[in-house]
Amino acid sequence: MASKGNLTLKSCNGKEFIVEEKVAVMSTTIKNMVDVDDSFAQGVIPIIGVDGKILAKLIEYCKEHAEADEDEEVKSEEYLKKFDEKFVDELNLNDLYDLLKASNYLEITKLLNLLCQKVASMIKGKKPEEIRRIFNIKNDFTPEEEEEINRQNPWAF
Amino acid sequence: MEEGSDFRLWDELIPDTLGLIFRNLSLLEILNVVPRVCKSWRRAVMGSYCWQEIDIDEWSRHCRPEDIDRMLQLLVTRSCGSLRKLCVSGISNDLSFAFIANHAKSLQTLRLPRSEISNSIVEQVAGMLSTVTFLDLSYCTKIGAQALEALGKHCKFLTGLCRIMHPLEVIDKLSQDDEALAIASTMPKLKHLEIAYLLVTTSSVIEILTKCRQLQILDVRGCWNVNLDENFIKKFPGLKLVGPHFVDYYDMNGWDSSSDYSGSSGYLAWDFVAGMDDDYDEISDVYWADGQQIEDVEMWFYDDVQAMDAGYDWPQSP
Repeated sequence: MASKGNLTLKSCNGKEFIVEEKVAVMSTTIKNMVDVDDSFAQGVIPIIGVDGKILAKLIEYCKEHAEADEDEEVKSEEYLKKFDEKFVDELNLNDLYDLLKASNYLEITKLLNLLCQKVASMIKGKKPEEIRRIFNIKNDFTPEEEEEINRQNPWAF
Repeated sequence: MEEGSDFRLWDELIPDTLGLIFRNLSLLEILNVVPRVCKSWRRAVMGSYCWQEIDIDEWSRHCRPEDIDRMLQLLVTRSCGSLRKLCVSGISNDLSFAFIANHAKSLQTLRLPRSEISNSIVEQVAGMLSTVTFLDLSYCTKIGAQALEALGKHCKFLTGLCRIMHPLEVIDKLSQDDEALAIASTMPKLKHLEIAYLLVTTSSVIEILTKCRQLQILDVRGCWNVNLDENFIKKFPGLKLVGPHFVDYYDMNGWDSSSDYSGSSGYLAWDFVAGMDDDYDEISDVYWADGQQIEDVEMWFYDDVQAMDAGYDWPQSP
């Protein structure tokens, strides 16, 4: 049972996490739920479409950042930067994707931006076919369409 | 892949997430590479999600005016009226400005430094820029008080203005006090005002301070005619005044055209300032709290190597 100041979050596969409210409300979606309806603050908040593994990751991230917001001395900007770097570096491609979707749904803006930067860094400097290979994207252009795209003059920079 | 054949469908991410990702890429990659990956990414790049914020300032500094116009047409059209922020340097004619104004119904931040726009076009279309809250018209030498007044009257929620001049470009001007007075009389909600090197006198700066009571930052670096009494400034406890005197990069290092301080490093400072506008209200208190950062901003126009080498005298404090 969550004590006062704590919230219980439940993943889509039934795993429950008790977290401090300040950590949970890093998510704008959860913050809105708690603000609007007090019963969420006492009961269990279902996090639809997010499994236990991903929810644990989200909480790990939010915990660090909520604590840093509270006490800059212990967790400096520098510390957070290093934490962020390590956090995204350890993700595999599927986790990256799942976290991206989850942080978008839960509106954890800082994390969403961090993940988007990570994905962009994987795209940077690559050719279309390399990008497809990295992300397992199927080339769905017909040969004719591809030819048409190639015919259009690319922007000269 | 760690989890067997359980591939995620990166092409099926919703367009606004794709837009957030692509925003971190260079303009070249967004226009030339991403659309060739797959249909869904191509659609995302063609749609408005990628173009709610268009920042082609850096790109536009290096290209021909006609290319800037063409790029503006392409990107602003794609934004489909959802354009919130536009940064572009050196637009060369009034038509482009009118085009921007025509697509400005959601526009909040507009940065058009070094633009060749005229007072008359600004007066004509200012009414369409009423949602703008942050405006940068630095180094636009063809506009003056009339344009600022028109903008002030129509942009009721304007909280930030940059009207920085290049010290060499104001040499032939007698005074820009009329601009300061236009700011004072029409932009009462300003919180952030940068008028470095604008040719203004003490009295018009006092007029600004008296009328714009919410000012938090006033940058008058290089406005050598301005002399504000310390005790007078104390009457504005919420204000951070920068300048008119400052230790600039030039003074500290001397000028050495072979040093690496040129071109790209100039952008760093610019990016710093350009990054200020987002959520400015939220970050301003924190950001400027210790008063350090703004002094650290290098004056980015020093990257004009040719101008420096041409042997002009740098304006000195009296």
